[in-house]
Amino acid sequence: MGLACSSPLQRGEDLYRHGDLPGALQVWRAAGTDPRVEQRLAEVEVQLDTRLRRYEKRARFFEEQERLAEAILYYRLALKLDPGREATLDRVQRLARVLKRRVEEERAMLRTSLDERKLFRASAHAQRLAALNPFDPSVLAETTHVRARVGAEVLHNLEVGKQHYAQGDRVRARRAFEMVLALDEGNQIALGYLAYIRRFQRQASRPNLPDLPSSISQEDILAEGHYRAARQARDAGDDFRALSEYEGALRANAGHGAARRELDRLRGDLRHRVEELYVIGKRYFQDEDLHNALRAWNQVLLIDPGHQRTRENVERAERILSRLEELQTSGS
Amino acid sequence: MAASARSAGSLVCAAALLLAAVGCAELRARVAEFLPEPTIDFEREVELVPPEGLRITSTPDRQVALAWDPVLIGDVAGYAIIRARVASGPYIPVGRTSSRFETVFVDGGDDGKLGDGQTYYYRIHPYDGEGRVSKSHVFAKASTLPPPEPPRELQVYSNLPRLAVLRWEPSPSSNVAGYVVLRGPTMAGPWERVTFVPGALHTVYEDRVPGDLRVLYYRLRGVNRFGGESEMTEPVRAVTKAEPLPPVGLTVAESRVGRIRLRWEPNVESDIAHYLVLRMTRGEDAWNKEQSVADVAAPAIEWVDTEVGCAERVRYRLRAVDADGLASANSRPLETVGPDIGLELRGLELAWDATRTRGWTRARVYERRQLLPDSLLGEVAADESFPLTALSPGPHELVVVLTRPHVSKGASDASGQPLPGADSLDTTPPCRLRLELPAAALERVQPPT
Repeated sequence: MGLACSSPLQRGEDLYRHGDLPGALQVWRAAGTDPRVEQRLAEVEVQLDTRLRRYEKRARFFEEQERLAEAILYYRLALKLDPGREATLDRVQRLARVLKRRVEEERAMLRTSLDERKLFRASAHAQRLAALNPFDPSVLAETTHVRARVGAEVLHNLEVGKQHYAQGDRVRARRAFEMVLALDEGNQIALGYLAYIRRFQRQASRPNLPDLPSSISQEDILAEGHYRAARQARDAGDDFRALSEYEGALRANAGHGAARRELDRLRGDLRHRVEELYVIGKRYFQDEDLHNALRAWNQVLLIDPGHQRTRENVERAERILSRLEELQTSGS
Repeated sequence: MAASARSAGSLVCAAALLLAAVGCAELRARVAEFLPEPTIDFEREVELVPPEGLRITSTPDRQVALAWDPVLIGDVAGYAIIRARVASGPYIPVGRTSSRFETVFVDGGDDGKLGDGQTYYYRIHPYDGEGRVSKSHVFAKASTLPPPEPPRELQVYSNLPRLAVLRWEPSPSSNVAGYVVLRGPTMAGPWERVTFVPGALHTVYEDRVPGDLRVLYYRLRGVNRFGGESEMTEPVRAVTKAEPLPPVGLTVAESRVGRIRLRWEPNVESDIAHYLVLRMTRGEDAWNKEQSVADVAAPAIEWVDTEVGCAERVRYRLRAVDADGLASANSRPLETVGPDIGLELRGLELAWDATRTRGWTRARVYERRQLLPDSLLGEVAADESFPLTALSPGPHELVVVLTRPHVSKGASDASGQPLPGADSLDTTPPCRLRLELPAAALERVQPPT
């Protein structure tokens, strides 16, 4: 009754507050020439346009990452705000079919890998499956199961490796840690232990090398593992992952000299890219493509952690992203 | 006299303690009535040996339980317990015991006033039968248990109809009494308290959400029985089930007179229950109201419209409905025209395209009349034409209806051929033609009498 008696401005506001943005716009557009309504309409149309662009940019980012269910979600949220977006609907229809096919493929490969007890492959398929559709309860159940199996196997081999290492049986320790890497190729603890085992072997073959310390802490091993992972990333041409791993090594052990030297050297080599990456991030941000803006700016911060403008922009973009779904349509 | 009374008091206390140990609290209270406890006065001091072996025996539930060894020498009537927030004081009395053997004290009780993770300093002073308190004391520091840790591995099952199901691993803390579920519209909140799930091991919650394709975020807190809350878990995202996508690929698969077969692509969702077919016909100036004309159970993806008129303009749309009753938006419309049979006036015959009447056996020709029922002019085989010699010159509106014997489903003869129905016919919608019958033509075929 109250709603029926209220003005178009108020009726639109009520709908807007309840998240029914298209409804609010419809009421205001039909309201005639009340200047207050026109002003509100203009404001909300700008909001709508910004939000639509953000949703679609986010969807496209997920699409590029093969996170198809999330891509579809954000395209569909855009469609809820503006059901007339034919191109978006076509894209959703196409993506939904691709998602279905890809999920079926990954699921079949996952089951085959599990049947063949190829846990590394199963783990990779489970990860892809979870990325493709994190919203499907059956996918969640399957991937949780695989993660638990792989995790248990990794933990078991890590424990076996550590025991052999502590007993001085480096041959068996190495075998166990290599098993860990076969399941989790970036496992820093296994990488760290293997690096120390190799050092011991080198020392045994060349007695003039300086002695290794008698006790090696878990922090030393973890730092060494990050350092090795960074070297692997550099060999693979992924400088930014290398920077991140060097930082990880120094977080585990601030006194890791090689990690410090390599980090400083690599940062020096990449410093000329700071301004370019900053500008790329800014362009993405102005285009409402917040994920790609963050990606570029986080790369700047890996090279130059003290880059204040970038740090402020990252905070701003993260704040906007964290509130992206603030205005959803009523949806029912 | 006083000494013997004290000694008797001690004995009674010892007896009372013994009775308390066997659970006879009532009797103990009655004994205490006869021997009122002395008023403790911290201003009046006495030399008594302090107790030893003070220990903290328990700290959960916002309580601190203290225990110490009894002082067996001197006139000890009990112990005064004082407490401070900092070691240097000030100390306030928080309790007393009434016997040298009553060497346990629980501070806090059920009101939870000590709080979670709070540190306190305690002193235990013996006092004598006259309520004088010893200068010497024993000292201990205790902290109540911190608030519980949050639960672990919060997961959410999405894609459920207007429902989000949360599950988690219990908090590792022993003092968890339940969990608070918080919900927010964005990853940054604001966080609304949805419910309290009682029980440390009760680790599932189903949240009803009004709306399809709603994105929500959830967090949890572990809560102890006094309402002390853990930190929040990291937010997890939930999405309620979306309504199906609108069907696509709607086309006319076959178009014959009186029959339009529609076909579309199956929806991508695996739980489509049925498709609604909506039809709109064209009136004189505008489209008529859209009507739901069929409900096609999935997985079928075609439907035959046998009611479309001859040369009638129609517009079809589809909606997909899933097993939970969620309906899609309408598909894009498909506009088409009901096939006609190519009616024309050929000389003095009403002719039609026989290739379009295949499958029909007879053609009935009517004349449409103002205010009167249509008049049957005659009937011919469906592949013939109809002579119009009985009509007068001038304008006429003729209607052709094709017929064939109705075939009953399931009825067949001995050889398996379907049996035609005895007294019913299948018919097409009427096909109309307005024509002007020229007088000259009629004169040629009808010589003057």
